[in-house]
Amino acid sequence: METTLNLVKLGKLWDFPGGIHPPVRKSISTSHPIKRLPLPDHLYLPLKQHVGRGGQLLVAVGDHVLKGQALSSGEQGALPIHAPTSGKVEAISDYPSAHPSALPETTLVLRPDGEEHWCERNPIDTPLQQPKSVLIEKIATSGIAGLGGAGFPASRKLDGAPESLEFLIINGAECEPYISCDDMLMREHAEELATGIELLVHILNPAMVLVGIEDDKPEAIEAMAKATEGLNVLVKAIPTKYPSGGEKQLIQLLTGREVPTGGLPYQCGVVMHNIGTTYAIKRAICDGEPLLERVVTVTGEAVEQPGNYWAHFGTPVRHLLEHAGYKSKHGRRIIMGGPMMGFTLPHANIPLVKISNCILVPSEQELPMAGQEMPCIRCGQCAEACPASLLPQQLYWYSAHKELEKAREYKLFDCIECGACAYVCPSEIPLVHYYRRAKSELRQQDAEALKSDRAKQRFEARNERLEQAKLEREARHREAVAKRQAAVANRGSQNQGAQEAVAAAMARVKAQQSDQPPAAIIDEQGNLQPDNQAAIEARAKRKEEAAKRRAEKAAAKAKQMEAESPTSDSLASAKDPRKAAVAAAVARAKAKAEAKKAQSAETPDEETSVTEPSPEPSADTPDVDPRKAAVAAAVARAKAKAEAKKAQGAETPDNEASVAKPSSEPSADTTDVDPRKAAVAAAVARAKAKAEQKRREAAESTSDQTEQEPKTQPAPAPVANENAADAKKAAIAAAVAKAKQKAMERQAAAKSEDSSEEDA
Amino acid sequence: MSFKLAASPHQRIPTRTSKLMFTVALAALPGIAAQYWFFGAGVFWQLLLAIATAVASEALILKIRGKEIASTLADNSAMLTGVLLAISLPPLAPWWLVVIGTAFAIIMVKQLYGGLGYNLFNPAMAAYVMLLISFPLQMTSWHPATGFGAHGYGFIDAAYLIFTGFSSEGFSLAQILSGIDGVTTATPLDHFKTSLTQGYTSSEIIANNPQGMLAGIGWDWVNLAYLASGIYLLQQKVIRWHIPVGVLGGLFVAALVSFLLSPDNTATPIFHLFSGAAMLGAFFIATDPVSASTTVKGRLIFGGLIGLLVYLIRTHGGYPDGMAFAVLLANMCVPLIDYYTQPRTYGHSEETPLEDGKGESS
Repeated sequence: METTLNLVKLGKLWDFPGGIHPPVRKSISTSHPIKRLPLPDHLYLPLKQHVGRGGQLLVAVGDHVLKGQALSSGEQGALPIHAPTSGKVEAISDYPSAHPSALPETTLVLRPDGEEHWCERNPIDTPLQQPKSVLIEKIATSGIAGLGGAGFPASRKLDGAPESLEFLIINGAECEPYISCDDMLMREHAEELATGIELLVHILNPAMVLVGIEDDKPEAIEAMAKATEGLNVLVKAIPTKYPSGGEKQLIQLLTGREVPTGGLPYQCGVVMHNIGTTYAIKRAICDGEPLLERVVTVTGEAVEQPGNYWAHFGTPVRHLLEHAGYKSKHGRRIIMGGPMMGFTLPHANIPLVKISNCILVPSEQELPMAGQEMPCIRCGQCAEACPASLLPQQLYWYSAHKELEKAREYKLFDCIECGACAYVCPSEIPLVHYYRRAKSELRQQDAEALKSDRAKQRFEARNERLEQAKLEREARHREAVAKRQAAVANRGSQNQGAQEAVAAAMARVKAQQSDQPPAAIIDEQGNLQPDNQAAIEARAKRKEEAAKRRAEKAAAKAKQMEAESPTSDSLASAKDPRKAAVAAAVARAKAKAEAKKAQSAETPDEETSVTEPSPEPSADTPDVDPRKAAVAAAVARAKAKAEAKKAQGAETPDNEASVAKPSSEPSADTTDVDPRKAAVAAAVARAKAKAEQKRREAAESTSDQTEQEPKTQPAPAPVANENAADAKKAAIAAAVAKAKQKAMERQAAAKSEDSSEEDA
Repeated sequence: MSFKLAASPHQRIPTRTSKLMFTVALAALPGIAAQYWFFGAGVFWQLLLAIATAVASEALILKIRGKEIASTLADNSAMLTGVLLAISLPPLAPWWLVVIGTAFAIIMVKQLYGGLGYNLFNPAMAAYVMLLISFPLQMTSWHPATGFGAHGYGFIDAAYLIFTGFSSEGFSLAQILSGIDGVTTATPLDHFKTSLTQGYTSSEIIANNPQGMLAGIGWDWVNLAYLASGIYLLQQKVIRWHIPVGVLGGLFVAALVSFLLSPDNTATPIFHLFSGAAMLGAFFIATDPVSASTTVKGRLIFGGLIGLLVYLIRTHGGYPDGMAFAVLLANMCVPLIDYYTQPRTYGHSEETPLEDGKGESS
């Protein structure tokens, strides 16, 4: 380490292998001092002007911005960009970028107002007394990227530097032909550069500062030596050989060290900054001016006034060319950068960015287009020219023949794409182009491999997670089951009562059903729908209960009427005539009301009950739910029987009740949407209607003084017989029945025949 | 405005492959002139035949392969192969020998491998070996170097001899070769070898047969001419120094060691360097880039191997000269040499490349 420093002090220079000596042609652009360009109409400022990502926008379309105002924020490796002049943000849209691909990038279009109004500048007055973090922060917020090549954020080079740095190297080699912007900057701004170096020394505290300048720039060497007098700075003239300005090559030239492959310069004790960057650092810290402009060399035989220009970032190349006197007849290529590593632009509207050091417009004679690519003859001149000691012909072979892994094995990624190999290639093979393609393919392959690896890991992790979740779920499930079982065991006694009640109810229903003939039907249906057995039974039970309730109601009514009947039945029964009269009146009123209600209800059940004349629908007709119908029929029969018995026992004609019942039932059933229930109700109604009809016949017969009816109708017979005597009552009943019949008929006429069809 | 797009770099040296090939062929002229002087006009006809055959065979194969003919022929590589084979053959070898050889070189050795840049073996030397094995009599029919005008035949006679086997006066090739003045028909190398087997010491052989200043009348001049041309090629950066230095160094060192060990039955190193195809091989044949090693270290090894093999074949083999065999054998080793002589790339730690073991030149 010490020896290196001593050797450097003694003036030792090392060499790098390979390299080429292309004609430098720098004097074309160094005859005039750096000129300043007038503002263009618009500035096109891509958010991303350097390696890495672009920052976040801070302004919106229509905003007026001041010179030096930050337009984007720099976060996570991104650098901010600043308004190169005051003006209005006219648009923020995609615009072709200053990149070999010219792919559109988010670009801010600024229309300068020509006022050059500065925003508040915050120079650091006593920078050498500030902690280095303050200076580094200032450099970062000033948007300073390396102005030499790739545009690596300058602050990160300073941040990542080790505490005990040996070399700070200021790269003024500018090895690429034609380019002279750093040369001119050194000639004209050596003092500011010296200040910039002082700032860098303060931040980095290196053991030695070297300024490497190719020996074909004697003016620059002299100016720098003079400006850095008294500082601990060694200005080193290095032999002119391309690519001595490459970071790795300059390190090798000046220190004899090599940056480890894939590593950064500080790993061999070096931090390197470009001349332009050093100048920008000085401006940022001492003048508070963020990076707004740079020196651009406009050169080539196709421009009339080649030279160096201070140009704002975002200036379209066209603007530069117009001011440099572009002769469109001669130049058919615009190269951004130098002839070795620059890239051609598809059109002249591409804006200048932080890394644009040169606009080269050569004539065809000056830099002829590459001729036809010929086969590689393995002459090995490329290997001799390669500054990285690669075997370009092998790299070409493997790149061209898609043996990418072999290319990697031959250290493709150590290629710095300097173009020395392609420069010497006698077969005019665009070698660098092949390497770039192979590199990008390999990177893509690696990214895909990484992605698929990650996907595989994710998939495996997911499977594992799912498996874990499944196990946990199962465990929880088992636990829950155990808990439930325990709870059931505990609660068993408490639930017993309720369970027993349910069981009792079920048993009752069953008993009832088994008593009835339709029980067989229930069984039959049960077989068809075994799963629903319980539900069916419950429903049947509910139905039955409802029917029972209705029957009870009817029975109560009948009883009531029985009690009232003396008015009509006074002759037949020996009941209280007063009560009977009242009851009869009440019954009549009720009957009327119910008749009205029935009318208003207009249920299809009623309708069927009227239109359906078949006397025994419950058992015979294939109902929607014959089982229910059967149940209902059974219920109805049971009721009829009970009523008959009652009537017999009480010797009262419960015709009123029986008339009232069918009318009351529909009202209850109409609310029910269940068609099965409706069917049940219909069946009940039919049964009742039948009874009614018979009764009516009986009534008629009584009015006609016929004695035959009672014999044919055993159930209502007694009533009829007994009623026969009571003409008045019969007449009333008949009238009521007729009224009801009429009402029902009216309803039936209005109804569709669907339900009857159903019944049929 | 729209502009031309191109990949960087946009600047190139003006040297082209076609120019390189042409320069090499042109650089052979002094040697050819020396051959013409000492061995007669036969070499002219051989060159004509070989170049014509080479170009024709290349065009034929390109046509069959559906490749661009004119632009490929313009690379001059076929022409150069023809030249190199022609100047390696005995000047009065029958016409069909050179035609077969050249066609074989272009079709079998070069184009069947994929054309320029893809051949494993040096086409001219592969053809030479093929001819040597197939037609040993015709291939060893060198006649004595007698100096211009001394061979008894002119330009037209040479054509007669090559195409008909008889001179215009009716002399057969054998009669011509047996010598006008009775000088032995063998080449100096051949003669030396024969004499050694007859029990002569090297000094006796040299003393008995004053064959010029270095290695026999004519041959030393031919070799000197090729050496001069080689230096010109080096100066023009058409070839690199590693292979010639390797070949000559290998040959010299091997001959020197042998000479020091037993001076009586070995030729001097200088004799070896200026005999036969030493200089032609070192500067014109072994430097064929396509079939040679491509690394700097590899080229030294490649050249050294050729020099060593030349010496071994000359001294212990069945043939008087061994350049063609040596080149072919070294061609075979190229992939191995290249693999183990990769340079240390910038930023990579010093690897320990496997030493070839035969690097007597390094």
